[in-house]
Amino acid sequence: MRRIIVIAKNTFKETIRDRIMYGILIFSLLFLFSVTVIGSLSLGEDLFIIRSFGLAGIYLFGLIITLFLGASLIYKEVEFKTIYIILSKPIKDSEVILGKFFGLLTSIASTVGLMGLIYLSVVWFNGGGVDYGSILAMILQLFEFSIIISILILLSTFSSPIASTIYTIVIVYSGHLLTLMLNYSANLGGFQKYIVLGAYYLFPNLEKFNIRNLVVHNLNITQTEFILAMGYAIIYTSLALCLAHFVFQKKEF
Amino acid sequence: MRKFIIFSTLILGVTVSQYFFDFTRPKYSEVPPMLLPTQTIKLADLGLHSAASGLMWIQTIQNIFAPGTKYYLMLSEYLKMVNDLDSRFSYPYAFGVLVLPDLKFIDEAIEIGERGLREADSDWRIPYYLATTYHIYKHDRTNAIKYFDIAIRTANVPDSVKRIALNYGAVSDIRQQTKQIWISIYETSGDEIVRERARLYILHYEYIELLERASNIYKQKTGDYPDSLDKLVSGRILKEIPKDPFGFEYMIDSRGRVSIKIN
Amino acid sequence: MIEIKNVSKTYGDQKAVNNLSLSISEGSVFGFLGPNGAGKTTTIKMLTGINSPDEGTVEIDGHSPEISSVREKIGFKPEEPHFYEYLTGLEFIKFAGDLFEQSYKKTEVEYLEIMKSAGIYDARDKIIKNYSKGMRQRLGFAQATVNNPEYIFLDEPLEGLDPIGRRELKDMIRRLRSQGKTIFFNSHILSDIEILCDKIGVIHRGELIYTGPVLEFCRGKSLEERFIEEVEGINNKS
Repeated sequence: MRRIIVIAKNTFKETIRDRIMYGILIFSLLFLFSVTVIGSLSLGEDLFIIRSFGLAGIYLFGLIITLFLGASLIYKEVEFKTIYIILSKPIKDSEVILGKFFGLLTSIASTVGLMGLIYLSVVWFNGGGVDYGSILAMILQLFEFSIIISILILLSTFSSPIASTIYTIVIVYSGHLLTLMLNYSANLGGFQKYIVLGAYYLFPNLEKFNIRNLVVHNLNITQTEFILAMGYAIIYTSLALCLAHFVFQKKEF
Repeated sequence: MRKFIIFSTLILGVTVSQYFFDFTRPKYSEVPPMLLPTQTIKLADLGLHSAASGLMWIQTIQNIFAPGTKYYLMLSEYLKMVNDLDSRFSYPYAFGVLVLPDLKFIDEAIEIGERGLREADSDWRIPYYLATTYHIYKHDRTNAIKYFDIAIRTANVPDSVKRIALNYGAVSDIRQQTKQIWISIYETSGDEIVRERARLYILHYEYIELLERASNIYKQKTGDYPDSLDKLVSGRILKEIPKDPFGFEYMIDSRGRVSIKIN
Repeated sequence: MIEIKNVSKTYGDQKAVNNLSLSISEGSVFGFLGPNGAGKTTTIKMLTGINSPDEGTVEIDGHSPEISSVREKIGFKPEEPHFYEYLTGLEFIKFAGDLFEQSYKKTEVEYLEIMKSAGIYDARDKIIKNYSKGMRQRLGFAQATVNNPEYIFLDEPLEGLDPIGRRELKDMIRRLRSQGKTIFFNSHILSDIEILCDKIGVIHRGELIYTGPVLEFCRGKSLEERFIEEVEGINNKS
């Protein structure tokens, strides 16, 4: 347990000091400030635009940072042989995987938190008060990111950063389209229908973490939905990390 | 020092060439705003439907009234795209109900308004503009009353608007009523296109009122209404006949009522 | 006591190590010598629990180094000096030390002492990205000794060091030996290791050619001469 925290802290330090990440973060902050200007083009619907675009920006930039940091995480270690230093220490493979995961999650959560603070102050200054709904939306976004991070770690144990990034982008896109795919499959026959159904349950279904479209209209999700979403995130993340552990153990360095 | 001069000259050169480039181009985009199938946008937007709706909304209203173009004829299609992406986003419905009738798309306006009432966030503007549309363009007072009533009961309706809606039907002079409605639209709308429209209407009605007041004075002086409006100028009651903001010609009938000449 | 019994390891269709058996007693310095690609790094990775042998057993004090608790008493300096580029030297040593049960309670002063003996005290607050190759080697050495290990494994410790660095490193190895530690190192640089090692092993193309005292192998010639002799002899036979 203690060693997981050591690895996590180390991963956090290493990722948070990455200069390119700062570039992306600064872009995102500029975007959030400029959302006010974009809002003024909307014929009086400023707050709606500010909130929609702001939350969309936090999601997209968060996703870019996650892909950027996560895709190379384990790959870099193996490529640059820093992994030897860790593996020769009295640490278990599972502790390495969990440490990397929590370290990366903490980094991403910090960046989302920072963007969130800027966003909330922009909304507040534009007369929107304290946007509690958006805070909830960002918490759910972190659940979604924990699934994405665990998938990235899994992919990172056996493919190059570019391949991991591409696969993850595909998974994220399908994760938001699964419901549409399911509706489409109603028209398909037998075997094809089961393939789509299988994909529907196996691929991470990410739409449940997207309450932005509700929040900008001051609507909310129920407590049950929130708890189920959290549960799904925990289970799916554990699944991906277990697979990552399995691959990692079998790996020759 | 030399490096500084070189850099400044280059930056100046970039700025100047961009300026001249813009100078020679037409001011508005020659390309109409994007009209994409909603399903396609929903596939690509990673679930960020309300942001996509907002984006489509902004790019539509920024470009749809580009002068010299006929893009505005497709306004109802663009609004449908915005509404399909986020059916709860209320202002596009209200905007459609307000602006489409003027572009001769009265039935589309009503259809959009009714969908807005069903699906959008509670917004007093949708039933209010539906009511005004029924009153002004369809002369359907029954439906106007119905929608004014809905507007009154909607949250956040401003008092001035509430008053007009409540008084609808109580004021016998329809023209007075219509002018009041346009005044309320002018006062409560945030956007320039709509306010400009309202201003023209208010001016139009005020000129008619002015001409009628003038012809009443003429009657008091001469015992009868003038048979043409020029008599008001030659009779030294008005300095000139005001020019109608919509370009129509005014005419007066034997009972002193001023209206627009329809050829 | 380090025991390697009949160990083989294959990568793809290439047998990197074939039926290797070695025995290293406590408190000695063992030099594992061979040309590049002979199987030295493969062996050292199995000794430190990074990889497992396909056949045979590796034991340190009777237990496999693949058990994580066994690695409490070993230290390893890998061949290529790569680290976490955005940490400072001190942060990295602390990180390495924190992974051990016994040493994570060390104070900063104790970590600085370790850095001093490795010769990188001055660079402790610089980020590793800016370290030279020699500094990285020393940092590697520092993290290999941070837990005061009984067994120290060094992969090409002399690589990238200037003559002064080489002498300091050899002094360090001697000092560790006098403290009763067991040192196992790989090298393809042969000049003046004769004096360091109690015992050597010579490996070529995955096969152990010789293991035993240095002098017996040298037979009066220099280590380098004898080594080239043996290696070329095998090359000519095949």
